[in-house]
Amino acid sequence: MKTRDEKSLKQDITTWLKEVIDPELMINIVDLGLVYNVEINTQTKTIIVSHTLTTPGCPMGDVIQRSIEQNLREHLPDFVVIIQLVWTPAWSVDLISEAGHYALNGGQDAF
Amino acid sequence: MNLQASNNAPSAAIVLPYYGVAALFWLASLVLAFIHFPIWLSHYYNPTVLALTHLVVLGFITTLIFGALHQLIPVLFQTKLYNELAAIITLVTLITGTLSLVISLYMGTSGILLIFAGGLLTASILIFCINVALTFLQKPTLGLEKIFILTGLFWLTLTAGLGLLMVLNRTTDFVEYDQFAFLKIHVHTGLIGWFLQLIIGVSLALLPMFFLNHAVKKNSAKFAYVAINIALVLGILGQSLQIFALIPVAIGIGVLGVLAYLYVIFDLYLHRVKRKLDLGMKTSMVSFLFLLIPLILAVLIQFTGIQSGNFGFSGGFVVTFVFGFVTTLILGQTFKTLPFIVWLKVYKSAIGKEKTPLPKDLVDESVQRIQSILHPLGFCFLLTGMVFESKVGVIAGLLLLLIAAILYTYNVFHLLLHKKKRHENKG
Repeated sequence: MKTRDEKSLKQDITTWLKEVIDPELMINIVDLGLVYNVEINTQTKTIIVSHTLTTPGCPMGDVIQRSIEQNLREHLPDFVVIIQLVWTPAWSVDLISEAGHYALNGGQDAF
Repeated sequence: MNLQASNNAPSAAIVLPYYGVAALFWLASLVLAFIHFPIWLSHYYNPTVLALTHLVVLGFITTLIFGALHQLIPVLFQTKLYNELAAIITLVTLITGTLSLVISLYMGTSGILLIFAGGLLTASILIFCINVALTFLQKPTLGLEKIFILTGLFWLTLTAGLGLLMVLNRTTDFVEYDQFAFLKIHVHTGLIGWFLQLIIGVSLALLPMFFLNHAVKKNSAKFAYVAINIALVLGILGQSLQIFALIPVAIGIGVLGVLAYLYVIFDLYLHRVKRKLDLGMKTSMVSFLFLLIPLILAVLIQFTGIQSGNFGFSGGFVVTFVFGFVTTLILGQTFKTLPFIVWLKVYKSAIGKEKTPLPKDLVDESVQRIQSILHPLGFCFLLTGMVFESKVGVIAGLLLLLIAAILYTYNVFHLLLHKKKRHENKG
């Protein structure tokens, strides 16, 4: 059962991950639907971020992963950050949030 | 940290010089074209036209494509480039061979320099193709994009071989052949076999990412592949064996193949999730519209016999395909790809640690905006001038194209010479 700390920390992490942007699409990875899961263990001080990419051939995949890792280390320097790149379920445009679609349709950039 | 994505990108030091060299060759092409403006109103088979054509197709287009492919192929093939030294040798031989060929053609000579050029260029192309083939064999999985690219490289090799044969024969005259027939085959294997199929393969890889629409009409793309290659084979057979009845069949099938490809592209465009297009993509979409012009010309040439002026629709086909479609597309896509390569080189170590600019911030957008208007406008003026044999139209068109080329070259070097600085992310 998640502690209250882990719940609020997870929300914070989701907010922080909005600072990580896909540089081609100019949308943060949360609104783009790339972040599948965030697991936190406050006792072992470990964070596991499971994410995907819009396509296996994404040339910025390495950059996005580094950005996630560096971003979380900056906010939580005492935690171990583990990044897991997953391909199932496959990413689709249905995972893009309303804010993400707004940005893609020419509205305010979602970052 | 448990990174599962591997980074197969080659060293920026081997990719970036291609872009710089290509831009300089493009600028030189437009200077030469402008100085020799009367050739655009004369017959297409003269030394200056031949020199200028090869300066553009080898010096600018092929050089840039080779550079971009060295970057893209590891991503697409999901494996590291087989040999990075080969990439450097490819560039050096390509530059030397192109310069030698262009000088030789321009001077109208057919001696040792021409043979040297032909040999160097063939070697450059072979080294590149072998490097790509060996890269592919490290992880030999096929997909539509790879099939188009690999087929394009096959036609490039054939084009180079035909070119070398013509060069040798010009000097030693060891084979009797119809040089115009050979030239036509050489032109078509180069433009349609190499350029067009390479572009199709790369666009099938990149445009779904840029449009955020991965629902590619694969059956139409497969039809395009079969039709274009059958058309090429029929055209070659018809031209070389003088079975001229095959030519209209080849053209008809080829046009259908290209239309199928355009259907794929416009379907991606119409159903894109990313509605807001940047300047590079807008320019690219204009180029796809321009691709309709050589298709129309091909039909007019073959099925109506209409000719216009000395340059004729035959020369017009090459001009519209190269200056209308290919170069416009390159001018758009350069600023979709080059900023990322430069950004990775300069800022990769700073990712997540400090504020960095976005790749698009590295481009001088105001200059790109002007260039993206002047180039298509210049092409339109040039084409109109050629069709109506108007000296004013041709000069105006070439001047606009030259200014656009200056702006393009400036922006490419503005990118290449970018130094690291701290930025606040712009909105």
